[in-house]
Amino acid sequence: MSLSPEEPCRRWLAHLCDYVDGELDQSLCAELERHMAECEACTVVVETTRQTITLYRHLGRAELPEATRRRLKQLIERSVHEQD
Amino acid sequence: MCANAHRPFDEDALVSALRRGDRRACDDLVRHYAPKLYNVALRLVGRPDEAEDVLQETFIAACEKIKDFKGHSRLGTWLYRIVTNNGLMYLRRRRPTVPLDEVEEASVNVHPRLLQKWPDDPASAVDVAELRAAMEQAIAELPETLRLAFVLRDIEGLSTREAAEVLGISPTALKVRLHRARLLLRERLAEYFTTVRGGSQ
Repeated sequence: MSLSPEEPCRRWLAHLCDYVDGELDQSLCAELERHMAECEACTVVVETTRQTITLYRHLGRAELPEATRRRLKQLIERSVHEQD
Repeated sequence: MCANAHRPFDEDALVSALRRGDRRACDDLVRHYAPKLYNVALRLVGRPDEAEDVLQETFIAACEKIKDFKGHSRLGTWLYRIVTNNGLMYLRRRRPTVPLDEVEEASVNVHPRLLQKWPDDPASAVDVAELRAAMEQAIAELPETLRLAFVLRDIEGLSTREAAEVLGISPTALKVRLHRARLLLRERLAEYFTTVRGGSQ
């Protein structure tokens, strides 16, 4: 299976972000969904793009180390008091 | 989720308290914003010690400039803009002759190649630590401009308008970068799932 670099897949690929963000115009949205019902490649691209976003949203944030948080807090307190 | 979706505290009150030099306001500022800003700084500069430097510069600048904060944008958006600018300046100091990778951004081929389905719940179908490592590597290899758009919009949850405002670009330009970032990351994770799981048709 491959995603055609030609129409219509190329056209729908350009609307991918608006579609997964729920920002695609209603009539275009219905048209895309009709296309996806017949095009497995586009369906997989949409689904795996959604999964990519979900994975990064849940696992992609770097955790602030506690020592860094403590040093920052001290630094800012000093900075604010110096301005007094 | 959009950054406007909830306000865990009164932003106006926090700004007023910071201007008065209220110690508790400093706690609130760090508690609420440091984790978000650290994520952006680390994604941009790559090393925890460097990200801490960028974060310190950011909070010092924010405390110094809080009296000039007009409230035209949300406090978070203002802080994201400072940390992004500080991170980019840090990178320029580290490698002053290398321009930002806008050329690279435009020349990368983002056409989807790997089209196998992934497991329904990918994180529970593979080793999470291994998946996280693959995700880290994939995002680190994105051109900076694309990485920033993705981090602000999809990890930090800013709206398109807010992320564009942070980066000083139009919402349309932000969407172009986001589109490319998402497709590149999708392709890299597709490689991972294809390798690890053999995919599932």
